[in-house]
Amino acid sequence: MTAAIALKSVGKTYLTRDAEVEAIRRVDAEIAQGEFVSVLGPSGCGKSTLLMMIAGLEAPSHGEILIEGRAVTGPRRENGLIFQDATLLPWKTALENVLFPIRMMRRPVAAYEERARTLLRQVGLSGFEDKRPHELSGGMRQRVAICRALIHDPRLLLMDEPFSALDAITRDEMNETLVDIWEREHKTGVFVTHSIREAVFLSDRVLVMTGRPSTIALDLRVPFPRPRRPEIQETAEFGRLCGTLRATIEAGYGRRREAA
Amino acid sequence: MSATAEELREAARAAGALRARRARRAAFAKTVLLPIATALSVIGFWEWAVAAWRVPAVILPPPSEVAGVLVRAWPLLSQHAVPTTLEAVGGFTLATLCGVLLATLLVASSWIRAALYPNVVFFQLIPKIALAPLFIVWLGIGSESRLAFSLFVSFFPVVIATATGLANVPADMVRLCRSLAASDWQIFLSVRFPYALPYIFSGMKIAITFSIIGVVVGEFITAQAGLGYLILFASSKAETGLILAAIAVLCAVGLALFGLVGLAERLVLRRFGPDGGR
Ligand SMILES: Nc1ncnc2c1ncn2[C@@H]1O[C@H](COP(=O)(O)OP(=O)(O)OP(=O)(O)O)[C@@H](O)[C@H]1O
Ligand SMILES: [Mg+2]
Repeated sequence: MTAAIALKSVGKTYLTRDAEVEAIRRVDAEIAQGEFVSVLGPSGCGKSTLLMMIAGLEAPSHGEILIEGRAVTGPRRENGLIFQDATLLPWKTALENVLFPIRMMRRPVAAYEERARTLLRQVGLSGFEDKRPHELSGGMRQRVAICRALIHDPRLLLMDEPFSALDAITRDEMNETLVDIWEREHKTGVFVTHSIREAVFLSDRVLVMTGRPSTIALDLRVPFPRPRRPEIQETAEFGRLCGTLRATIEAGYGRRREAA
Repeated sequence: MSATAEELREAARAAGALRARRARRAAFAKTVLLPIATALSVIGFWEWAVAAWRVPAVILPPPSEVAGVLVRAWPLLSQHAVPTTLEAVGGFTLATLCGVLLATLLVASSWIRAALYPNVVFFQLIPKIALAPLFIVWLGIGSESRLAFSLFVSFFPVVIATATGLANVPADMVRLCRSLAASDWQIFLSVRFPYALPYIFSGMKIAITFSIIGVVVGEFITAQAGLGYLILFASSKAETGLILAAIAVLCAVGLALFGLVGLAERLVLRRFGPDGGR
């Protein structure tokens, strides 16, 4: 089976006003269909950049990205995006926000309304369909954003620290919601986060990037079976995986400090 | 037992409601009654001081006399208020349309922005009133020159506010649209323009006051009709009471037009504002 995403010696150098910033030196990786992969790494190492390149919103400076065997040359509608902020349109209701991608793609909105309502119900927002973002809590807004990313049934879900603006308890709830959705919708996912526990709990695999200019320092498989139960977080195995990841990330920081 | 608890809770609620009402009344007294009282006492002092120091009416008539002129000369005043109001509304409307249009072009193309935006900012800085006579040279002493000058004066705040608003859309929102392969025009209509509405209205509120200034300056120079002309005329005859009455009418016109723009803003932002216009 062709990989859902293949990154072939992908690198990115930004041209700024007075310098070239080499964000990503070289990333090689393959992500299988239906796999959920988290990306960890120090701040500024190029995680968002990598995600934007996969989304076709930034072009790599060298190397190639293949999605289902085809080279990415621009945005593809088979992607669902979730950002750190919910970025909902403040004047639209939750339901209208979920249906926003359908409008942008000029598809018949009415045909998707039932799916939008179902998605909102599945993330625990029935009764809030007609509320505007300012009437929702931060966690509820991010749930709406998740539904919006799923509405057009994309094959790929790209998430850039979607829960890092939320408090710890809401964040745990959101993790469980995402695991539920994941196991129901069977998509391929790339999930950028700063939380090691979150990465291990959600993912089939965790990639750790080094500091800028970045490469992949570790590619770790998470062996827990699905469906995932929150209790796995109490197991010794979970703690061991987190420890390995933490050690790798700290080594990456150390390397950067020596370089500076 | 539970009935007593219920009664206690009810009493606490009533006390809370009473406190809230008192707080509201105090806020009303402070934010509405106090400024009115201040204005009234200044007018009262003016009335008293003019009499006490025997200031001649030519220098400064008492407010009561200005009110008298306002009543007696009302036909004249209202007759001149009409062209001033119409031209100010016309200049403002044109300024809003042209301003939003130019701002759209500035945001749409980085070349147009590079070519024009620095010049727009530069024009914003020059004392535009000094250019009024040029408009008379170009367009004559009729309505056109006053309209054009009022448009010219009130146009820049709309451009700058709108351009700021159109560019102020969260970057991730634009990324989301692009990831769905939305066109620039779709992004403009569905995202940028509604996001910019609060900015556009703040520009329009400046524009409406500027457009009145533009028209009055035009009337000073062209000396045909309007409240500006009436003020000029009254001053040549040393009718200070009429000057002040005309100024009072001008204030009322300005206040009414500003109020209308504010009302439109509230209606539109109730639909498109970030927090339902609250
Ligand atoms: N548009 C851009 N122009 C120039 N430099 C950029 C641009 N976007 C990102 N960079 C630089 O590239 C590097 C990687 O940025 P990126 O946002 O991908 O990091 P990140 O890993 O997502 O960081 P964080 O964890 O803080 O979100 C940073 O040094 C950043 O300054
Ligand atoms: Mg980032």
